[in-house]
Amino acid sequence: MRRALLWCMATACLPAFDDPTAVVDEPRILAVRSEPAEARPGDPVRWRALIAAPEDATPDTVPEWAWCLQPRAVDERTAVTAACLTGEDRTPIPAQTPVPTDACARFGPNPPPTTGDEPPRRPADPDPTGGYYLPVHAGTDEAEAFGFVRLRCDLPGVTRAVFDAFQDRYRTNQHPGIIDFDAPPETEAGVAHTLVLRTDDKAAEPFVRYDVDIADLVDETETLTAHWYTTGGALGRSASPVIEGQASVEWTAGPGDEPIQLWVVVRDNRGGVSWETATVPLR
Amino acid sequence: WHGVVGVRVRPAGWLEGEVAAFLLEHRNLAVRDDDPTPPVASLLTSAGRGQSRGVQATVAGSRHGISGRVAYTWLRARRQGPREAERPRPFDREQPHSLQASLVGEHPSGWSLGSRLEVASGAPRTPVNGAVFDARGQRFDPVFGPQNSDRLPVFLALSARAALTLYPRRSQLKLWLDVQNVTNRKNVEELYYNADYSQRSAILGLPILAVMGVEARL
Repeated sequence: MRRALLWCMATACLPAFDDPTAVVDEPRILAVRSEPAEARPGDPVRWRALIAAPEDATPDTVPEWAWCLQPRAVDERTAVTAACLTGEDRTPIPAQTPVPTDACARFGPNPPPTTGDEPPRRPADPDPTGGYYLPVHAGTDEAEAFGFVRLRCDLPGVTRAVFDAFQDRYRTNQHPGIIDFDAPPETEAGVAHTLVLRTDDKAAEPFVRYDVDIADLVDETETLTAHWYTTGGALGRSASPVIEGQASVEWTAGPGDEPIQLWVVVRDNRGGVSWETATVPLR
Repeated sequence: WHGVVGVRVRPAGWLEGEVAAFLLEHRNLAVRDDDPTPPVASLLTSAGRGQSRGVQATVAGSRHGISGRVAYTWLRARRQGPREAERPRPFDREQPHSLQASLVGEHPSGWSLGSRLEVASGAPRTPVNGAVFDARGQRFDPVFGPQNSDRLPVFLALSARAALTLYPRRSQLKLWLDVQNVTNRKNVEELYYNADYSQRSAILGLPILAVMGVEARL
């Protein structure tokens, strides 16, 4: 009784929803990626999406694509503008399309475009890895999601020496490589397994970023995170870090007659993403 | 600036009524800059505007050891951001209708009984009409409806209080029992959503709560 009271006080009696987002019970777009992972304005990119669905669903596997070409305002806490979220401001594109030539001005370090007698605006700030991203919308009849392509923009406001060093040392991001996704060949309801993801040696890439405080380049290494999804059962956690090329999670198979689908999406912190799928029949 | 106009009447020695109308115009309110990349240290600008207007009517009386008070307020409070095209929206804490009533009876024996009723419109909230998955952030982003176009449910609370005052040996001893939310109404204090915004639930206020106290003055 005392423990229950303490728990209630600590959590302010806020009931939790029982809807783990790692369980796929309807068609969903789990990941979106551009090929290549990082592109300069004008470079062609091809878009791909990971569309997941329960076994008995037949999702539309060819999404429609659209750019979100307006950066979000500071009071918008979502990844893209409200107008792009609602579909009021999207620019349809084919699955293979060039990055807009003014992408580094709209979302990057170049002076943003202005209209009329509007005063000049401040360029966008980079993310902690020094990157800038252009958002894209992927949508089918049943699911939608936003993805991003990392923009390769020139380094502004630095000395010539730093600029040249950055051009020489910066390595364009690559999507993390997956060696294998270790899932059981078959299972039965209630049985626990350890799912293991192995990435290749070069998945966590070294890169340099410009540090404004010291006005110089800093060496960094990417961090990788694996996100797990399933159509049946319970996952110990929805995401786990990739350490020394390996990530794992406990998975307990759920009941049912259909084979269970498993997905793992591995991301690096520079916007690279790869995925792997497994199907586990139930005995 | 603000202005208040009021009328007070006393139709009988034990009864008093008052009606007051008020209007407040707000200028240069702090709001977030609507630029995607505002200048450094300029996240907030003094470009907000607002207006609050309303009427408050109060009736209070006291006779034969029984006193009561009823107050009703009609309020309309609007705020507008820096965008000229932006329509005024309800202020975050606007409660258009608010009623408070109290009744207290005191007996020469030292007993007193009282009750208080509070009824108010729910505060504005912004509805969530859906959600889209942010595949990079691995989270759902809410698709909001018009800002502050929804409201929390009506707030209603009835409280009761009984007290006994004694005077033993030149001191004063007061015993009281206060019962809040007598009807055990589940008043909604705030809304929250699940991860994909497909389900909504509420944080509720206090259930029925009895508080007993002793107050001594020596």
